[in-house]
Amino acid sequence: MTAFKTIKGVPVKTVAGGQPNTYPSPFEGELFYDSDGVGAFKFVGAAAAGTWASGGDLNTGRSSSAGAGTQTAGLVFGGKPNVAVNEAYNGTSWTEVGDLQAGNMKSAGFGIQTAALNAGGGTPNKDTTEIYNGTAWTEVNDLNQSRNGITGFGTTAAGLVASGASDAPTSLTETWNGTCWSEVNNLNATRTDGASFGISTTGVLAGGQGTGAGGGALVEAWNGTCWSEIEEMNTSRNQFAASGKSGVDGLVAGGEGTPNTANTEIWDGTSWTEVNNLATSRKALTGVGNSSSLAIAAGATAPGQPAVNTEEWTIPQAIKTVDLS
Amino acid sequence: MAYKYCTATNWGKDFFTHEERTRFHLEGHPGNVWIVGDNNHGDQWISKISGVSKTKSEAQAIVTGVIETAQSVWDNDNVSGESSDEKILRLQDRPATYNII
Repeated sequence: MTAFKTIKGVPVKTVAGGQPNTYPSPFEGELFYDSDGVGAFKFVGAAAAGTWASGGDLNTGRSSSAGAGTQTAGLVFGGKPNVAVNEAYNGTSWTEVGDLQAGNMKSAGFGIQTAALNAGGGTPNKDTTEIYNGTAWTEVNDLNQSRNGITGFGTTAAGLVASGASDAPTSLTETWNGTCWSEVNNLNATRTDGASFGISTTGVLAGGQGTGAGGGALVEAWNGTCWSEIEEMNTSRNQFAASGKSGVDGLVAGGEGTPNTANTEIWDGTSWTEVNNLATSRKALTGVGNSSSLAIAAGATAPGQPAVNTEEWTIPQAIKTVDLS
Repeated sequence: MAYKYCTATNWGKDFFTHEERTRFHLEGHPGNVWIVGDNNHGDQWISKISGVSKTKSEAQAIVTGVIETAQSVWDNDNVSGESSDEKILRLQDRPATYNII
């Protein structure tokens, strides 16, 4: 270890307990000393690049749906043209499950496959909120402001929605405490058709329309109390998919354009990195999951034609630990 | 980079895999048009999916044809008294043609 410090200028970190080899690992690309058992020097290699592969087809083609869950336990509900259809994904195929109480599109969805929330949407603009228990949707307390093009993140016990449009793009933000919505601090920039990821205390809202010049690349971070502007995406976009497990781990993909974009970017809490593209460029798509494993569905790949195709984002190789002792 | 062009219907799971995506360029376009990197792996994928080979101009014509059909649908979808801004709000922008690589 003395030689290592002399050469590299820093000591080898010592780790006791479980191996830090779940992506993303703070030990990625680093040598460390495993003090457990016999003790050994080990190295955590860099993860392989993520890619998109085709997934199972939706039963009902649509765009502008909302979603919740993960790549292997996902849920996509509603969508253009204002359908109530709800489908569950198991990592291989989609199955129709309990419909929304009413047709909806461009609403905000979050949660997990067995406990999801759907709020707002339209047209006409809605203030309704529904909660899914794994079997059926139940109407609960309404939003304070009806709007579509809205986005949000969290759980059925603690969540947030922001942005959207009623007559014009808005910066309004509301938090959900499991029972009702409360208006809280607004976004810095008004916008609609953005996308977001995170949990109630840490999240990111990116892109959208109505944010002014170059606004489609603007990104704001939520810290549980207020929004602050952070680094912009490399590609300006609206009507795209976003998904992530916190405000420091997310992914965005697709979006409107001529042609629509296939571009994908990952957010690590500090910067956006362009990664491998979707195979099929698309807009108004729905993402569920996180930056290392994300299922994505339902985008208008051909102009005006809702698509059934799904693509799955996966970083195929988990970080490997190599024993150097 | 050289490309090949084909048409094939995406059947869903395993139509293209993560491993295949690391081996050759792949783009899907309207009309079930696929642009495939011109290497052995790309050739194997075209064979796997029973892709129907097209020239670039044939592929472009298919893509353009699908978009022009969508443009006609858009042009004919009108609501009495609706402004152009309101129509865009309802239908989004008129589909636009583009050139494939």
